[in-house]
Amino acid sequence: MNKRSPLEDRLYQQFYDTEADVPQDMWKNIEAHLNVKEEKKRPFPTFYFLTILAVSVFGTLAVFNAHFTAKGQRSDDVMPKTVFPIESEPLRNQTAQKGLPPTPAADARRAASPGPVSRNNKETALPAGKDTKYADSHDQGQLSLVFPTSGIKEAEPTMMMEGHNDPAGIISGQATLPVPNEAPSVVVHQTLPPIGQPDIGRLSGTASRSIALPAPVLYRDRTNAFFLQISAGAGLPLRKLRYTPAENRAYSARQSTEKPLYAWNINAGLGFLLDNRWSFSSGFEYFTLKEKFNYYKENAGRLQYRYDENGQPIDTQLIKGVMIERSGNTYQLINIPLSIGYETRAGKWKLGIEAGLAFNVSLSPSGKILTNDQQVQRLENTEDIYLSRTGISWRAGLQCLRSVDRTTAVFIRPQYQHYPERWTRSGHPADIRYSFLQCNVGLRKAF
Amino acid sequence: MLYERYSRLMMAVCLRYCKDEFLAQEALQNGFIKMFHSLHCYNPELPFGPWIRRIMINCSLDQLSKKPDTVDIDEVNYAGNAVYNQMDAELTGAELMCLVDTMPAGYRTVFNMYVIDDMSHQEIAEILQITEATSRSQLFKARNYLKNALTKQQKMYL
Repeated sequence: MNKRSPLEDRLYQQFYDTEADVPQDMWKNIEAHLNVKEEKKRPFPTFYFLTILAVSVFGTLAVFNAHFTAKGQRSDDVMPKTVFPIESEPLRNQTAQKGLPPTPAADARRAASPGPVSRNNKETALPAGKDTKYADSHDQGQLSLVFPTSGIKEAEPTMMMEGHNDPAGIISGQATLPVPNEAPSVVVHQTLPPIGQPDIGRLSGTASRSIALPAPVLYRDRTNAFFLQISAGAGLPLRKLRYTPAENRAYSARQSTEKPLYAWNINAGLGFLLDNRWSFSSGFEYFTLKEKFNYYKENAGRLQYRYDENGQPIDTQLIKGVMIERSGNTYQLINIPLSIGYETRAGKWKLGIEAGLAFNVSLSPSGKILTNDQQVQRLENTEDIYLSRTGISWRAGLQCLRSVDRTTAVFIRPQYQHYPERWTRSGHPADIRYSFLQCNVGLRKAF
Repeated sequence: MLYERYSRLMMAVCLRYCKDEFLAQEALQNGFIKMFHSLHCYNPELPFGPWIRRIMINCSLDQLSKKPDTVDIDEVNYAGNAVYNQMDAELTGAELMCLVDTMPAGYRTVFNMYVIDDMSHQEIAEILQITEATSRSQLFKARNYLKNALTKQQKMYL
């Protein structure tokens, strides 16, 4: 028990257990809030289900990708110039299969040949009918030769045996292999690549049959690849504000004081390019919406206290004037987007469409709003207006990619995003929904 | 039912801190919501009354912190009338409370907590996140303020 003066004791006796009237509808309000809180605590099965689904899809694709990589697959490009190795076949079979016109000398030499041109126990193969690339693998010390791709499918490599004494050399890039004079030579003819196609290497001249050509690694276009992408963008917010009942002071107060300005976002994500056309991506998005709050009130009153030297209030004074409140409201959202896209090549560009869902995991408002009793209220202090999550939003847009190098591409993505669910709590009279027109630019890196 | 038993009592508590009836109602509502969500934290060996009272005081203080300490001109007049137009020699409890209500919020809060809700300085310091010394100082000033107000009133009687 605290020490009290008789006067204070009288106050304590009188007011400790005093009662006051409570409004009739108080319990209904409390009950409604309790129900809302219970609803909020319920798990969000759709969200968990889709997260598990996304993880499963990416896991499967990762295993699928790892399987091909283990077989020697090599990805060189985020764009479709990634290539696969092709099964090796002996050169003799190639020439035979292609029905090349054999010369009598060549027939004779082929008959005398001990076998296919080989090195390191690998057989050389030049496939037919495929876009092929005989790429240089510097790490393996191999020669490189490209049989270019589109437009030359009919140009098959041919080999001819020539005299034993022909001087010969194999030139590829910087490398030249000496060929013994006594060895039978092989002449490789190759069609030049078309204009605009990269010429990785070239093989010319004659070579002894006894020397081994480096085992070529032949590739075809790779169509599946994982990619990382980051992007940032800005957009225009479109707000839809409704009140129940339709016209009241709070509606007009908020409508007149708040104005959506802009939104910006940053994204980072992981994706998978399937068949070089379909892309699946997911990741993390930080999204911010900025609004202007501008409240102007004439004839506003403010009470001012005056204190003496001891800090005791001696006077109060009502000051009338114009009240101006200017600030910016900020709504910060964290989303997990899940997108599917379709891309098609148009020259050096890739054009596509992308659509998907974004699962909001957090919404935190800050700033000020005007309440129906014309009071300026801080959003940070109110938990009963805005939800802590806005649910699912959908988005759709166009996508335009341009490759920078073999693994990197930049893109621009104009899109429309819509939040179909209200951002305010169900018990609150304001129904606020947002849509956004935005444009993102970013970088995509394959690996 | 807890609500029926405690709502009127707690409304009076909230009114003492918030002064404004609407703020008090909001504090009461938030207090009951908080109380129902925190029932699992309640220790049945301790009395229930002080526990719920403390929740209500916390909610009232939250409400006070949201609203700047300004009063309407009508309210000021009312408070002034309560002090200066009192002509009875013997002040009733309600009139004394009117005097308490004219105190600045800081004094009033500590005075209410210490005198009427019987909280120690340690508890007050914990709730208001101030030091015990500050709590003592605020109480001292509140008492002085009340004393001055009563003296002023005595002079007016004379």
